Amino acid sequence: MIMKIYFLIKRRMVLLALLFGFSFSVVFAETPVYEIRIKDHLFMPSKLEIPANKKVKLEIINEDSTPEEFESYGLNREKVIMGNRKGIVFIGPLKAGVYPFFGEFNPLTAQGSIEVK
Amino acid sequence: MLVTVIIFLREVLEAALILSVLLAVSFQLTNDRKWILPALAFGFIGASITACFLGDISNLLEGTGQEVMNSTLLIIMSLLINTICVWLWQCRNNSHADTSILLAKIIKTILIVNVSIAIMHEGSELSIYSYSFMQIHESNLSLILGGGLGLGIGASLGAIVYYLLINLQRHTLLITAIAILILISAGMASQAALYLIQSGWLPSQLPLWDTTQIISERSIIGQLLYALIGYEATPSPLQILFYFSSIVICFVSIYTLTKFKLLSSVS
Repeated sequence: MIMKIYFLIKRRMVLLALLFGFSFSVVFAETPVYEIRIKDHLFMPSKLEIPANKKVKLEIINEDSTPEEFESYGLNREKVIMGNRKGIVFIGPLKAGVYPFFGEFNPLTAQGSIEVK
Repeated sequence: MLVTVIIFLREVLEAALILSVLLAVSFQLTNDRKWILPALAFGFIGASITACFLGDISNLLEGTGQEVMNSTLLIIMSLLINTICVWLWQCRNNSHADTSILLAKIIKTILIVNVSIAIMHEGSELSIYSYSFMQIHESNLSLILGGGLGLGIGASLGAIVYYLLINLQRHTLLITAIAILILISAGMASQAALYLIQSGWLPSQLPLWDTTQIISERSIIGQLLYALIGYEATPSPLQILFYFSSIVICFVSIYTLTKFKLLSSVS
């Protein structure tokens, strides 16, 4: 009897986990991910194209040993990314246009822009 | 060097503004400015600790730790500033001498905590920048000069605000301070919303309007307005909601707490 209940609960848990996993993957699959790398105080790629009216996730990977601040007035974003670390920034939905961004700690070299099409 | 000046000035300006307004009102009402010393000390310690662990903090909560920490600090500051506004409103008619010792202690603690958080919030970025600068560049001279200059200009502007306020009539000073503080607090609430949007905790929306052509956030006026009223050229609807909610909360708490004589003089 106890074993039967145990198996019943277990089966339900598996079903529930599957259901949760599925719904999560649906939610997250909708947000496209774009990668920007920082190396030698430069953004790579320095020009990025993203779709208009859509929320996207930027993964900013700092390959330098020094910290950098990803900053953009047009996008209203600022985030410090420590050396050899990764930072996540959600942007959008945005209207079509060009949105410049820069590295606040090295603004003379670290420049880039996001083109929304 | 100009980059260093701008970074230091931007961060110092915000903290200096809050500091000078709070210093002016506390000096007018309680004749006490000594609380600034522990506030500065706690602020600098907090900034150094945050700067040291920012990498680990950022990794928390699936990479949104930095935003969650920043928005929490901003919301705490916003609420504390609103509390100070209530106190200032109630001090319009009676002198601080009527205030109970307990309340005086609470107010002093609020002032210290508030300024410490402000310095911690702005200072951690400056320590990270300075650390990064020293790693990249051979000579630290331009960091010291630029940082000193930025710090000096920010502090001078703070001092100007302080002396302008302190020379006002008591009633005018209190009303002016309340007005400035309510706007600073609203700006902080809007900034907190922005961090939560950036990290995906709150939904992203298209900006409600775009005033970049009129006043750019990059311009000096834009920066000053940002420090003073939380100016944003392209605010999202949620930011506006947070901004005005903060103002409404402040007015409602002033009204209710004054009506029920909470947080007022116990004479």
